[in-house]
Amino acid sequence: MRDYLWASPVGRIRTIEKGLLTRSDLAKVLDAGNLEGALMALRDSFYGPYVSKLEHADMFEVALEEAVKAVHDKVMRLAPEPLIIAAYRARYDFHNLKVLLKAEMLQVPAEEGGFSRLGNLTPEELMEALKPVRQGQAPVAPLELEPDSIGESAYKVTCELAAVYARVLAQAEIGQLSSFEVDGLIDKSYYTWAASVYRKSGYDALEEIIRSEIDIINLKMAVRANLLGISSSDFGGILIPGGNVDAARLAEGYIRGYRGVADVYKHARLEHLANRGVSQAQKGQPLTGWERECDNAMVKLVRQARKISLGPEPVFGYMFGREVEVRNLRIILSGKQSLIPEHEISERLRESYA
Amino acid sequence: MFKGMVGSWTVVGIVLLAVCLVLGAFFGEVLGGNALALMGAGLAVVLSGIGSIVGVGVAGEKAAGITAEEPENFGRVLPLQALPGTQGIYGFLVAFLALIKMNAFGGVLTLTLEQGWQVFFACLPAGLSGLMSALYQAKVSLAGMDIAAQKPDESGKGMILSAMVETYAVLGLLTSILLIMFAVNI
Amino acid sequence: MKIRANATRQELTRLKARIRMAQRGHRLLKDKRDQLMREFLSIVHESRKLRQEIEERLTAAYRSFSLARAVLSPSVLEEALMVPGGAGEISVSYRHIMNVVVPEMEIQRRDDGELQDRDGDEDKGMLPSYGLASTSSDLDEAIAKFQGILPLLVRLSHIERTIHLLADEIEKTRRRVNALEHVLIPELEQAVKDVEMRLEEIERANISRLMKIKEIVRAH
Repeated sequence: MRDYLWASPVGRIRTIEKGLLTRSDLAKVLDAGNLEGALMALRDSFYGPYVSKLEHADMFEVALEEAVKAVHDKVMRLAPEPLIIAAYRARYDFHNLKVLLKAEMLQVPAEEGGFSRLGNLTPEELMEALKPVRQGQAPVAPLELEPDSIGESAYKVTCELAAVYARVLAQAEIGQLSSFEVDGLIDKSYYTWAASVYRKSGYDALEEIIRSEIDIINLKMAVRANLLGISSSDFGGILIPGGNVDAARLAEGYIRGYRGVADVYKHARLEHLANRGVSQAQKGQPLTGWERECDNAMVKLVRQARKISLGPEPVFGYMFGREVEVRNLRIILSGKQSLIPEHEISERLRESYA
Repeated sequence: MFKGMVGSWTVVGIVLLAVCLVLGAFFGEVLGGNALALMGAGLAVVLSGIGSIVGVGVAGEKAAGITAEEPENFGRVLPLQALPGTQGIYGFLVAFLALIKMNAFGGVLTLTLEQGWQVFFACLPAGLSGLMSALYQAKVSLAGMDIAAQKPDESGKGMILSAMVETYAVLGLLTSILLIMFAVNI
Repeated sequence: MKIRANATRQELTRLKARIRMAQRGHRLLKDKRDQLMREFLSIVHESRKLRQEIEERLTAAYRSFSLARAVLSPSVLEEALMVPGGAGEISVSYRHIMNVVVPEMEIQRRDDGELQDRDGDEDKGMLPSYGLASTSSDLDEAIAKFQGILPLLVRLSHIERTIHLLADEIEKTRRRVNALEHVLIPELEQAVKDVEMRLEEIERANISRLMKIKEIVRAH
């Protein structure tokens, strides 16, 4: 833990984060009559440059992705310990790994649209880096690796991706994995790795954030899996270890159905959330609102960490805040695009980080 | 507990102090009273100096970060950066007084072992409280800078909060001065 | 077109037999047409109901899907739906409606994919084809809705095909009935009339010839 390194980035982020959209900014976008109007409302915000480049309003996803990418790049440049940011960003690399593996399973070339450009590595770099893995070798290390450089953190991510890739390939040879299992395996690998990175970094708040994220994801999966009728053995395979709530206990609870799941979360911080989710599912009501609450719980947690005045937390929080914001914008914009009534859009909006 | 800015530098200061204590305890006879007294004066400067250097340094970095994005905030963050710097001055003041008391400027030093220890311990309150208060004051200053960056009009409040920590540095300073003036028997 | 017939008695009886035959055929075809119409109407009715249901459910499914799309980023969605949820097989059998062969299609769910029956109690329950950690329940909902529609779509397609085939058949039968009613039978009747008239004329000519012969005989 070298929080003193982060003084200057935190200072800059404090000023930059004033540009995060507030509730009233979002309301302005929401109030716009149509998609074009909503994009117009974003003109003067952080998203202005990306939105005004668009040739057509329907391509707003491009602008959103570019905006997130710009945030990632900026935060990466600011960060004195880039691995902290890279470990979060790696979720997009792991996503790309899923796309690659699935394409290999189906024996088709990977579709461009499935790749995310937000990772530490571009999809092309990822494919290049994984080539030696198929021959059982480690990925090629860059010539110079300065400690705490962006290149070093990217290389660490690459090594982890390569290890996961090799593991999945080894398993796929034994028995054919279903796409469900592949996704589960990769998600599990990502979160376990990210948790270990944050644990080693020594920043308690970040570790707590990732642990809680694991808890929330496990809870969401437990309720949905119950609803979809997924067997307990399949469910045990996708549970992510490393949260505050023991994954093995959750797997046991899952056998006993909804009540079992709720019991596991008893006296944990997520008790309230677990009870709500279970009762919604039992009543057969849609889980949309509940999933929003889960996301809001994450936002609240990160917002707590933001109060720390020295360390990576505010920088992490800013990046997280922008991602939440982009998710909200996507909900609004694609809602406008498919003409979903306003109240239905707004009941899906996540709490904003600002 | 002992990690991050405050933790690691506290450890450095305490290790330094422990080394001096051990030196004095085991080699006191050899070193003599003069060396012990000078070691004490030196510790007062070094300990509070460490606190101030780290505090002002880190606070300065953050102030620079804020100023880089919003140059007009410079005036608001500057006093916040300066606040953890006072402890170093207090340490210097105590060392100066101790030297006067020892008659270091008047020629030959002739302190017994007992007098040496007296000066040594008289200097410690300023040194230790300077170290700790500077580090924690830096933390409060860093948080105060958050206020200055986000709500520039309220930045004065951050300064008041940070100044509260100063109290204990001042108390340490006063104690050391009183001890040197009245308790040390030279 | 006119039917040419020799003016003989034999021909006359033959023509009359043809008329009777045509009339009987006409009656039968008319019955067939009516029956086909009845079948047709009931199927059209069914298809209209099915179509309406499918349209409603599709709207709902698309709605769910666009909600899922709003919450998930496009690349996540694309990735989640990369692998098909399972294979389905369509079996076709045939059925006869009034001598018309119409297909009947049914979709069967194969192996472990999404399409597997929910209440099948195999130990390997049904699995979605995407991971749960990165997707949302909106997607589950949208996919479940689309899946519910699939068998209906297959049914609709065979019903629509049946409607086409029946419509063709009805059209054909109607043309036949019309041909019999408006062309063949009137023409045959005309031909009978012609033959009868000519036969009568021959008769009259015969009588007048006989009378002439009698006069000549009496004069001698």
